[in-house]
Amino acid sequence: MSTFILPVGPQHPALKEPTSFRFMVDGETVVDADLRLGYNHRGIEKGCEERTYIQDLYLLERVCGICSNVHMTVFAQGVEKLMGIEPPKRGLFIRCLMGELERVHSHLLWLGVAGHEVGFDTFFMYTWRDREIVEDILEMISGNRVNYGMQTFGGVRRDLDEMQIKKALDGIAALKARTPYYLNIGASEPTLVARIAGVGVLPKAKALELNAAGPTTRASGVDFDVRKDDPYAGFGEHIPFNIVTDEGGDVLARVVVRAKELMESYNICEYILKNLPAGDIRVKAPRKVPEGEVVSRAEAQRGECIHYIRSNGTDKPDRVKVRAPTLANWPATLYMLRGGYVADIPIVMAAIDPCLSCTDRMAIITDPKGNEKVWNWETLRQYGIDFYRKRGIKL
Amino acid sequence: MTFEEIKKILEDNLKGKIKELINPFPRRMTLWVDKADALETCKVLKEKAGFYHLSTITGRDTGDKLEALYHFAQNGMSLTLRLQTDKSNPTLSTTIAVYPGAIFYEREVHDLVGINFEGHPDMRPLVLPEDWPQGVYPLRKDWHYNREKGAIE
Repeated sequence: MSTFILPVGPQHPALKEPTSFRFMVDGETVVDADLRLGYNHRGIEKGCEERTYIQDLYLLERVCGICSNVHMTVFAQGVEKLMGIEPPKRGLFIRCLMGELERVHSHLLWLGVAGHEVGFDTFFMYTWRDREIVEDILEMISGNRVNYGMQTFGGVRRDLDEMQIKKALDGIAALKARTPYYLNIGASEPTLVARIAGVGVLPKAKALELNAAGPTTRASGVDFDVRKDDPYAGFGEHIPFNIVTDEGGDVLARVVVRAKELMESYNICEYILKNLPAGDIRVKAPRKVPEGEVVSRAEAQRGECIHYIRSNGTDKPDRVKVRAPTLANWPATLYMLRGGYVADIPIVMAAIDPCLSCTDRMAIITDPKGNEKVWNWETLRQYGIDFYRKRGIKL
Repeated sequence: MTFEEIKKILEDNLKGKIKELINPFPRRMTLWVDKADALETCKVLKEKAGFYHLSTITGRDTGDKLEALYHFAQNGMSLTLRLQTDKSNPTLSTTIAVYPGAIFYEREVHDLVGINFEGHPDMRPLVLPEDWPQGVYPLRKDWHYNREKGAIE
């Protein structure tokens, strides 16, 4: 049997932002996969060279809507190193708190999307309802549900008072009570497990070789977490936490890792809120940055986020390089898709939590002779659900 | 591993090839070698010094030269490998034989800074559009973005 080329995208391959795939398929099986990026390339790195540091801070926050805070954190702590300033302990704790709250909202969002992609919309409704709790906490602290604008050079911009700490603790307690239920569903609900167990397998050796990051690599048994490897803000010395890993390497393992990471993040948030040190939240930062170069890293919810910043002694950087975690996970994703079913494409792509934007349009050409069949994303999702329904997996 | 331990491994395995080896911040180090020694250095970093993870590659225009900065990581240390090449013939050898994860990073650097990675199997554009003019690299210092004037201004 000959292989067909199945173009997916550029509009909406999985979640947000456009990207384009070419799948070589042999019947139901994906033989090879190719990728084309850049539909959302906005030239932010060049833009950073033309703006001042404080303008760059807000520009970089807009690299991504879901992990806005982590880009701000990475840039702020890199520039702080170049400036030679150290934020006060209270500022660092609030910086960590924002990072963990952001992880909580992102992982809850992801669990819902994963449920939706396999046709389990009840799961989606449940997790997104609970996500509102953490969104309310974020809004109470920063005034915004996304793009919080909390980090600045030398610390954070807003403090927490006693009333806010109490409300945040109440919200975390409510989430802590509900999440074990999701972990239980994700790990042991038979129909869901039948859809995700053994799908999109990434062995440990491949995860290491292809330099994957975040929950994707931790679900393959690699304990790679920047919070532990390269402790930043309050992590390491002050704030205790555990790294969650799983040996499974499939989509099921990724669900389990993310659900367990939620529990870890709740513990971190509680620890921070109960042990918030007294004092200032920031120190004054100079406007010009001395000449130098620095590599700054942090653990975003999707994996390692790294910025390279080079200053030339003025108030504008000479070079800013941003690498968000999704790019690191693409080579591993292409590996995972090979040998799998067409029906598994949505959940395997969604399983790395890619940062792509949604427009709900996609074309599939099933016959190169011109006998075209055009499907949108919704149809492919439905195709995947029906494919498994015929095999007795009804969600 | 600490900086001193890694330094010893690198000095033993790369005799006379190290141009610069510094430790500017805690858990950060920078290694500078000649571009001809790039592959050998990568092998030593991965097999002997324990840098299993390649975080990314930064391409940079230094004014008269082009620079590729490879950011490697292991538990407790992040190493930046600096390679420089002439602007007139900007080539480096590909490192995907040692670090297969470099495949997209090298394509991105090729797109934006214009360094050719010799031996790379697939140098198609990754982030720039297909109709982007040949030989124009937006992250070089001589390229400036001029916003087109809108109809209403």
